[in-house]
Amino acid sequence: MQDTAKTDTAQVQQPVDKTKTSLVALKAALDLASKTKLVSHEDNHKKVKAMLEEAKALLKELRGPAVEENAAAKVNNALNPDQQRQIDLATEQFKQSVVRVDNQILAQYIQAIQNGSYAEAEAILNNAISSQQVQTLMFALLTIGTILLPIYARQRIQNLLVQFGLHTVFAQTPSSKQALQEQASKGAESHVHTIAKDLKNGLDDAIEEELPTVRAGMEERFPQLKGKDQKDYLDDVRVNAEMYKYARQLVLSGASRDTVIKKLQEKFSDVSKRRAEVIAGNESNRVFTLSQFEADEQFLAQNKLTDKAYKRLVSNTGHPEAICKAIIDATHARPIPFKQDFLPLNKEFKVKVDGKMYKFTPTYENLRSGHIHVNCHCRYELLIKREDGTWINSYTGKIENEVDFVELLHPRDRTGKFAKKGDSHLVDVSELNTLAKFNDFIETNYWEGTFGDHRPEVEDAVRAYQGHYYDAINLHARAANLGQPLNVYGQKTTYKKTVDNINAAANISLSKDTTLYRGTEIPFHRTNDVGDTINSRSFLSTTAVKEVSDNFKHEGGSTLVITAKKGKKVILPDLVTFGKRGRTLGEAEVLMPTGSSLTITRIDGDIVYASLN
Amino acid sequence: MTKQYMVGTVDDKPLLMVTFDGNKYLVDMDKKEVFSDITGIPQVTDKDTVEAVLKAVE
Repeated sequence: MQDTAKTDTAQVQQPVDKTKTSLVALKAALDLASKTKLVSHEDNHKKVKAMLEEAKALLKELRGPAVEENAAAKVNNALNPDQQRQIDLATEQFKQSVVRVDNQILAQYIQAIQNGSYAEAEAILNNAISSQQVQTLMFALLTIGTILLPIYARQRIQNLLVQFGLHTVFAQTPSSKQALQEQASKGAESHVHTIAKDLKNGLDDAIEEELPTVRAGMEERFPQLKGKDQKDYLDDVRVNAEMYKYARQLVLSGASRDTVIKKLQEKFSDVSKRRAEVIAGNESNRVFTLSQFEADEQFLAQNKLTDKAYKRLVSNTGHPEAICKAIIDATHARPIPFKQDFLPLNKEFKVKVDGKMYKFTPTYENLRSGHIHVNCHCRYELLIKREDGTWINSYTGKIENEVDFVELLHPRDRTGKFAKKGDSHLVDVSELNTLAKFNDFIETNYWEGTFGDHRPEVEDAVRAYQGHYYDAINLHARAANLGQPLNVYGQKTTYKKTVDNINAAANISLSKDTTLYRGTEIPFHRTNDVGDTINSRSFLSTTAVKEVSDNFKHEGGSTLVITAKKGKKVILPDLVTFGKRGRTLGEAEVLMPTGSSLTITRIDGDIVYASLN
Repeated sequence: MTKQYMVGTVDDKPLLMVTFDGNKYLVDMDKKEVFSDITGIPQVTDKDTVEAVLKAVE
């Protein structure tokens, strides 16, 4: 059962002065609305009358718990006893339906086995998916959904009212009814399919155990089995389809049949009870998350907050499955828009944990409400972006800054591959091998506006990199420590966002193989050999003009002569920032995105030749 | 065999990238120093680990 379904009977039994409580709730709601900055002061007052009525109606409906002065800070998830009883009753009836359906299919199956026909038994399972049992189960699922959804959804609306001070009228929409119906239909088919699979496996296991008892009959039909030890006999029967089919027939037609049936009944009775619990829990959580989604969707639409709403996955247990853990990590680093699915439908998702690969393809339903897989114990948290750029968490009530979000440690995230880029353009940088040519190219193309990326956040990030922030950005990138906050020209941001914005400017593709230069203080020619690969988490600064690189070469350091292949994407920082300063920096800089790597191909004195991978 | 280095994590020096016992390390072969390849690139101070990593590299 969900935590939200717990009843606080102590609170419920408190005598409630409805008028006072309504006003307290209203005051708390209004205070919160102002604090949360979701709506203007004027908007709040326009809603006073409606909210008062709503608060009264809700409090009457819920009959307590009393909303205390500090209710705004604490979201109360308690259900009243009537609602709890409804939920318990519906859940119990649902479990009984599952057990009943299981038993009906088992009875038909056993009847076929008693007839001695494996083929007939198989046919029952194959036809189960279109049987009456599916309809029965579908009805049970629809019933539990119809009872639970409005209870959970209204509870959610109540929480949102208390937390945000924003009014919502919840109504079961045609789309929510359709979602419930689809869920019931798919759930019933899926469950019957599982029963059929379990029964088939159960029968196969039981037959397998009885194979030694039919050895005499087998040897009579297949003389080549004579004289073999027991292990070889069993191995031969298992791998030979004809032998196995005959053995199965012998088991089901002889004295072993009753043993098989008994084993199947014993095993299945146990499985059935356990599964009823699991399915009830699974469906309950699915309806719970669906109801939250429906309630939130209506709350957001009615309060015009949909385009400010995001969500992230959280685990109820603290021990999520590998797939859920990956989604939780990703959405804690970067919450996704409210309407977006957590994973795309019908597309395989892979995640590697401790060397083990986990694969998951969502085929059952759109993963929008936080129920990711069968028996999933996850839900989502609704986050709303406020006017000042911070976020309010609808579950905890806390105000969060983006810098508080957990840094995503996906290795590819640092290479710029996830960064949003504009269209890429082919440029022959090999021709820009003098400062005059380079600067002329920049100036002409900046004003023509053909190349570059001129979104403000990209311009600021690249300008910061060219200015004082160069060292700090590269140091944080190298130390894989990009979650730290950063203030760029008065804008609060993070190193990660700044790096992503700089990488977004990598929309220039080399039209030819190009030689680039880098003067360094690092003695690569002494510390490294031909064949070594040098990786860099930071940006790799090079120049198209050889003479410029000499200015950056320190005594004892190497000059890198880098061959960048046609098609490589590079950043021309001057092309992004020319408009801000009206000139280039005079370094003919060609910047490689983060995550670049070089392989040393030749060493000649302190000149190290390398190819850009 | 191709050796993989990571440049610029500590003092701009290319450090040898090593995976040992399932963990990634960056090794300064001149100074015989070992760093964990995790956020902040902290230097490994556990002598046994340092010795084991250096031995594996050699």
